[in-house]
Amino acid sequence: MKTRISRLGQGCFSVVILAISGAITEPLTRSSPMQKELAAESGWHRSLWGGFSDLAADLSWIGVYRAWTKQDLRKMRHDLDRVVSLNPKAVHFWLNGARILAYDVYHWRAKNLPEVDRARVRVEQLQEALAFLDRGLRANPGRYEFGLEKAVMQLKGGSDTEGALKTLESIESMEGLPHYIGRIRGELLVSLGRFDQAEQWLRQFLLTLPPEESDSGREVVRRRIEELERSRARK
Amino acid sequence: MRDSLLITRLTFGELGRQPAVLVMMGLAVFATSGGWWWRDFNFGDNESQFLLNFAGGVQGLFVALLCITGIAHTWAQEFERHTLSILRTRGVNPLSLVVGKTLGVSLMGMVFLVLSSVWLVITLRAEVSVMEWQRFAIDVCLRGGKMMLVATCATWFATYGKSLAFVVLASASLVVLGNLHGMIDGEGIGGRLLKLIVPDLRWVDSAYSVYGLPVDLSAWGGRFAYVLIYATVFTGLAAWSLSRHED
Repeated sequence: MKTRISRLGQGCFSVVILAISGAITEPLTRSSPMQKELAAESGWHRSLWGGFSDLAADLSWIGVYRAWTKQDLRKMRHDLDRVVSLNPKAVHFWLNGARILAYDVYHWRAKNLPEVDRARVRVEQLQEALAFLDRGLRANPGRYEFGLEKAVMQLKGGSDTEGALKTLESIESMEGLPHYIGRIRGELLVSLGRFDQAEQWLRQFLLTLPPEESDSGREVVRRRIEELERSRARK
Repeated sequence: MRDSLLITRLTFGELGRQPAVLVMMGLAVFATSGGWWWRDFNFGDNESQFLLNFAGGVQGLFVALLCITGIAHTWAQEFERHTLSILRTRGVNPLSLVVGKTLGVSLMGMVFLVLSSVWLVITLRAEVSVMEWQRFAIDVCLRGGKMMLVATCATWFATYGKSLAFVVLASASLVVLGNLHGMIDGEGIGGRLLKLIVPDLRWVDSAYSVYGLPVDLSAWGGRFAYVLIYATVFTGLAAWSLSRHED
């Protein structure tokens, strides 16, 4: 009996020691802003082992589509959050999710609203989608796809050419950037009426295009520069 | 120190002859080798990344099981054969015993981890274009840290419970709880206490390294300190349990 009580006391003492260790180590798990963000975003699903979480993300994505077909906004947002928490490295989840938020959700919410309120909803959905893409970029630093998608949304959804231009400029140094983004940047400058700046940019951009790559669009850029030159001469 | 190293060497040799440990290794090699078959189903980077994560997850699971079964067997045998008293009468202190045995099992786990990682790379290297070497190396190191924690924790259960079934069940439960740390409801008193006493194994797992590149040094330092503190606590508790053991 005495031994049993002694062992019980030993177990209780061990639990107390572990609780003290837990209290000491708890601040360590929040030692950086990155970890704070993770801790705030983490749920039970983040604790699944390795590849299982990717599999769960794929299955949850099917749930997103199911909610999408029913236009169930609350469930779709919930599932979308779960998908990107489970597998934050899958870029296509972020991009497609942002597109749904910016375009589809706007239509669902706006269909029964008067014209005045539609503009407000459009801005709200655009902001939500852009914030979602920013989260995606934080999880995938250096991936140009997020900036490109953001610029497209700013341009198409918000008619914000200046904002789109700034976004494209911000991804300029990222690895693997397709050549066409440079041409889009030139066109945005043209649509803002900054012809000289556009011409200057395209000339600078032309020098960076590899001549050995047939699909780099050197010829297209050269023709565009000539057009800009001609229009300048006409003035 | 000399005693610990000697026990480490003996434990390592002894584990190499344990059928349960060898079966675990065989299963892990079999599971990892499945990658050869999976390679035919490589439809792009997403699938490849999934395959890589999955293989890593399976590897982590087997290493944890290897440590638990290794510790459980080696301590259960000592208690069954009453060999601890002989060692104690020869002046071997409980801490040396605990450290030696834990290091022996950890060494076996580490060898297994490195060999299975090399095998994983050989299996998948040619086909997987998404292999990020830096991240892969970090993941292996994190799994090593997690394995150390599991080994020291199982040692504590072994010296406290003294039965093979108790060690395996208790350690496996702690591993599950440690991995589902975020799921424990921390609102009630019971939940808060449980969350406090169970180490958060996710913290030393690759699940938290998804945002980890470029490497955040303060976070890695924190992880190292976390493993060190818990390993010391578990080892200390195990040595204390053993010192109170009456054969």
